[in-house]
Amino acid sequence: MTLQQEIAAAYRVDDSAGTPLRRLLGAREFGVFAATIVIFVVCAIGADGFLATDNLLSIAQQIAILGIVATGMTFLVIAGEIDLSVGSLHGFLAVELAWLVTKVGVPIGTAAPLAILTGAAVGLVNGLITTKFKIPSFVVTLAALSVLRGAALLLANGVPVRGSRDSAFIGLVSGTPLPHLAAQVLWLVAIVAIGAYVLTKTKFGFDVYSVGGNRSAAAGAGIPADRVKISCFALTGALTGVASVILVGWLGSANPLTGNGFELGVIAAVVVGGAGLAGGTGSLLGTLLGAVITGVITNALVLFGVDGNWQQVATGALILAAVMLNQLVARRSPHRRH
Amino acid sequence: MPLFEAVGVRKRFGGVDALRGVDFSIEPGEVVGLMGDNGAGKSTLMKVIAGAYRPDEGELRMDGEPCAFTGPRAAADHGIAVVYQDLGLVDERTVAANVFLGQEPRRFGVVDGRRMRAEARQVLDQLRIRIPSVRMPVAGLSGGQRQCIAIARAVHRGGRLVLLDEPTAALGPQQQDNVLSLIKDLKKQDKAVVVVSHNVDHVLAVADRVVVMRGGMVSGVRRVAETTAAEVVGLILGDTAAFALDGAQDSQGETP
Repeated sequence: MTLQQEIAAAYRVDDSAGTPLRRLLGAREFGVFAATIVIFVVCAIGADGFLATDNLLSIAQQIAILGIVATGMTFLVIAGEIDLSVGSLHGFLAVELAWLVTKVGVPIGTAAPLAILTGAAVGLVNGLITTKFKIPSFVVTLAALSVLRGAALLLANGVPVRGSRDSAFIGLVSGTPLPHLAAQVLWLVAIVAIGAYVLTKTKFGFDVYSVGGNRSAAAGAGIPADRVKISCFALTGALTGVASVILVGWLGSANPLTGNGFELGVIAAVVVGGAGLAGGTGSLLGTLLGAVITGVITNALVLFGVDGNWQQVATGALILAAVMLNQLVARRSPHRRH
Repeated sequence: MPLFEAVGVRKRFGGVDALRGVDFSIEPGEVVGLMGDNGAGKSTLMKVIAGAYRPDEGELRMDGEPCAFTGPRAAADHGIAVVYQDLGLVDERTVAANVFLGQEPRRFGVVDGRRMRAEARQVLDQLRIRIPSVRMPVAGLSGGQRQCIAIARAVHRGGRLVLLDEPTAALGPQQQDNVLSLIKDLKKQDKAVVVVSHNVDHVLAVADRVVVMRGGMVSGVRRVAETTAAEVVGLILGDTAAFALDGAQDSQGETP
């Protein structure tokens, strides 16, 4: 090749996305996808009873709760913020729902939307404080974590509250419309699909990425940065409410200690899915795979007979490994196409 | 008729006179280098033109019509585009997304990615900016390419007067050449360009006129064809007798 040809080749213009194979291998989620397969296979071979239908169904139900909250958290992390209060909020909203139904006598059809609205309102407050007082969101939501846990215990008087007995409600949120298919999973798939559509196709989704990637540039381009961030907080709160509604339908009661440490699992799913905590990167497909990995590992540890206390260690190690891996990938591939 | 004029602009910050009666004008298809030492007032003047500051006194005119900019958006609506030194790019996003940042075209409520890529490529071609793919994140591009993308965005937004803040600082020689030739292309497309820079050689290479500021006033206006680097540096430092010409009058009589 002559020098001129080489220069021409270097400046070859190609705006296509590339061949399907290249797109698959080049996708940000490919690494997570491969890891999911490997972990699944290892668990299937190593852990007795992992592939049992009941066990897989139970994993799916666990993942659904985690994944729904992680969907909101993905928006928030991409927008450059974080919410540490989702575990406490999950518990508080579950108690609120059970309390409304059992102690106040509100019909479940009203109480469930009310719980979701409460979640959105809590997210709104977190977002307003974060953006208007310019306090880092991890501080604001760390305070909220404590406040909401206390509120849950106060509202429930420290003991579990019985939930709704409405069979239509229970069937809707946690039934089995088909054998071996839990309703929770359908909810998760629907929420992730809608979320992914909003994030990748709508103006709001573009704004979320822009605000998280470079807040001042986004604001300079006329994007209402604070409003975008606050919306993501509210969305996370609302989806935490959805998860609480499903949980109460599924378990039939609400324990005020529900969701203790849950935020770590949610954040683990998001960062394992490839979202950077600095903001601006991440995807819902990645988060879904991250939730599957987190759920499968947690389940496998139980099956392997590992002490429950080690699960926290495992979650922490998973977050750390994922963040380090993300950092490595980000440093190596600035030229990757989208 | 000048595209843009500022007449008798004054701006005070507390007890400091940042601008003490500045006249400035620029024609379509003209490149003006705005120079001056640190604290001379060129950044303040630029922010007044961009609508970020409101002048205490004086008048701004676009196409001869007086206009008061209530903010950067109002200035942008009048066709004034600013490329600040930090460029305002979102590193993780693609070239196309950055060209359209905050103003993505939509079809049926959904962002039209295909149109975004096609139009982004069109703008890049129009400005002869070479980027292998508009799907690349801007983080992977060189400093010169990033500067060019920021300028492409300003032009795509409908900027008729493009303000460039230190466009060649922190770039390698090759990239500086690319940016300078991009400025010449803007001129060919009848854009008015104001280049704020400390680099005399770069300003003399692209500008038609040099406006030198000192102590919040215009200390000298020179046609590039009739001046030398030494004279401009002298004006910046205040060593040469400064004949403060009225910028507006100057450009009415002798535009190239």
